[in-house]
Amino acid sequence: MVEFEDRPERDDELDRELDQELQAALRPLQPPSGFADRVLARVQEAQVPRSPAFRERGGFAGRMRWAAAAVLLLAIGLGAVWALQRQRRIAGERMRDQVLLALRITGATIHAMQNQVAQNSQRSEQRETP
Amino acid sequence: MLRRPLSFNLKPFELEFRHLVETHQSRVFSIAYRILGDRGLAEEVAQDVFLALYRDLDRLESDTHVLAWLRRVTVHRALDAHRRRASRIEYAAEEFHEERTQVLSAGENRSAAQGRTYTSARLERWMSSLSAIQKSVLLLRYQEDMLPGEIAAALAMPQATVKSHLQRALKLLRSQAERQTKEVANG
Repeated sequence: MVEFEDRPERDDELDRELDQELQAALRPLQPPSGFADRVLARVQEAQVPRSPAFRERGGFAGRMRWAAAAVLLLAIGLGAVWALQRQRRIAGERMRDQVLLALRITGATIHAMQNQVAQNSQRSEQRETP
Repeated sequence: MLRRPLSFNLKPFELEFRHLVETHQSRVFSIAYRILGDRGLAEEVAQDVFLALYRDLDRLESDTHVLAWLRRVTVHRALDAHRRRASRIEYAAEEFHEERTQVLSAGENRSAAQGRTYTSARLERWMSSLSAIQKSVLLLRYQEDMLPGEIAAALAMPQATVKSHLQRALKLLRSQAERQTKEVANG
């Protein structure tokens, strides 16, 4: 019983009675039927995103997505490298052809100049010989 | 103590949790209902309390700890719900009192047949005139059979304040009882 100071005896008696009545009256009440089921359902609901099976499924799909993205990136990278190398090879071949053409032109020019020099030398020798 | 298993099989844990819910559901629901006076809202609060318990179970080390946790969290959540409801403009107070009166009158009629001085239903009806905090203290004292020191710890308030709330609540109930007795005596 809760203690009250300086109270008449009758009040204390009433309080004791009230105490007993309260203890008897405030018995736990039954919740609506199916309460535990509803709590468990909410627990399951809250747990679904965290459940291992779901996580595993999500994880596998996630891994598959990552793998597909990696393969795609690799393909794009390899394609880019191949295209760059092809471009370089074509440019190299073109440059080689140009160099060869230039060498051929230079060779022909030198040959023509050599012939000219040789002809000039012969003419000089003929003039000097009486 | 109930422990969340490390394995992927959660079934045994959920069965144990169900047992925990079934053990404490009456206590939790009663506290919420007697503070709020609304079965629907009380069930909502009680469900929230058990959901919070599920999340916090790892931190609770014994059955005593679980019990203390449930009492404290239920009272706090019910008081929060009471404050939220009171602050809503659209809340119809008449509806609340009407529902409560209907429920309590039904109980009162049954109890009257048993010829008790202060019927349970009357006491509960008189309790509706108390403030939410007075009801909480009274419930912890008489429904949960807690001592003022334990109530003070649960509600994080000084023991003197708990005693003061108890005294005021009992005084109010006593005055209601006396008024009722006079009314009956006067015919």
